[in-house]
Amino acid sequence: MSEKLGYRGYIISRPVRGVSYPHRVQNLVVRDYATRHNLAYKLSATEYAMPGCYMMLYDVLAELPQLEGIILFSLFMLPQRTESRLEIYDRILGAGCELHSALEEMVLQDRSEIENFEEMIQAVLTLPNTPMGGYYQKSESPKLNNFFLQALKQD
Amino acid sequence: MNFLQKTEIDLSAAFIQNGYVITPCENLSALDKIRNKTVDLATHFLGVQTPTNAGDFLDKIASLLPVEKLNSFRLHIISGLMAEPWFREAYFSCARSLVETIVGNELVMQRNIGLSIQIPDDDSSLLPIHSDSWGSECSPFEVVLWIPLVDCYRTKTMFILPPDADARWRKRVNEFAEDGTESLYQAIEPEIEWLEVPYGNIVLFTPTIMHGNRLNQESTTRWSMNIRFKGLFTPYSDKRLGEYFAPITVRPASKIGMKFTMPGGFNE
Repeated sequence: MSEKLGYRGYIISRPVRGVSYPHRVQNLVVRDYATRHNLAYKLSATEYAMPGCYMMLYDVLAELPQLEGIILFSLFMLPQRTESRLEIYDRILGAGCELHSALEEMVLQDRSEIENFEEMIQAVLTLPNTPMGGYYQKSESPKLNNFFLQALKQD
Repeated sequence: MNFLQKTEIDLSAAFIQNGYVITPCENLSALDKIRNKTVDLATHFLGVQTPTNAGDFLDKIASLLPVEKLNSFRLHIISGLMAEPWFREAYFSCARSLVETIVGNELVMQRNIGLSIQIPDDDSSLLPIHSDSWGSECSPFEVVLWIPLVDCYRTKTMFILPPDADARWRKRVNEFAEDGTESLYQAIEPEIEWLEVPYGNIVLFTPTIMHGNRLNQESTTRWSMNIRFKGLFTPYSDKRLGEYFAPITVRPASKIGMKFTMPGGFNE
């Protein structure tokens, strides 16, 4: 049996919860998390941009026998379907590995912690059904967020 | 309809009228544990012996700590406290029933802790006047649990602008657009209130009202901690559930509701 070495980072090429984070920023967050938690960081796998695509994640799962675990940039990069997430937890824990999420500072080391992960994800998925859609809009118009489109129009 | 109990009604009215409530800590042994751990971390950083009087040691920390080391000292204590698995629950226990009365019983709690160490006459840790709702990424549905580790009073504590005055001045903040926050502070100063909070007491306040601190002109150092709470299902701003807030008291009805799916497979 080969030796387990290090934690594979996992970043993504599409928005996470509606926000696009540059790869560089995602890697900074993952590396900082690894350093602070004394985890041996291995270069991140980068998920493809197509919505619903997890091909890179499945590559990392195939690599689990050689890893101590995975460090996600964010918990919310996991598949939206509960069954898919449960299968992923199962494969990671079954391989004796850990699953970390750097942005949320959470770790899954045994099955009793699955509920913490799922509770967080379920609560966030429920927010659109709560008052004000779960988000307090401070600006009356979205102009703070569409400066890039406005700049394009001026060209 | 209002089925709140008399004590809840009184607390709620005081909170809305004053913008804050100051009450005795609900779990003094937890607060002592937090303060003792803070002292342990401080003595470790400074390489000094454990003192016999924790409050006196913290009050007089300026004699042991060069100002240029203040921020690394502060970060050392924050990371040391956050590394303790008991810390956040102990902090919450200092005001659990009060937070549940003011906010609700299904809560999220800020993941990290804010720690203020204000050495006398040090201007490197000042927090200009602001409201967290328009001066920060905060939702107006949040409250702050502010806990001092020493007696806090006069310029050694924080100030708030009471809600009535805040509502009046908020409409006029734009008048100071080109003058900066200091001119705003000078304008509101006659109406601000300094919160006098002896050790063993806590403050719960709404950060929607203007607040801040000034140069500590007292002879001893201010030590205070702050952590935000809000209802799990109340609107967030850019301090989001996940990276900033974590659920701490999810109730079973919500657990069921969040997982519930309707029967499917029907066709028109």
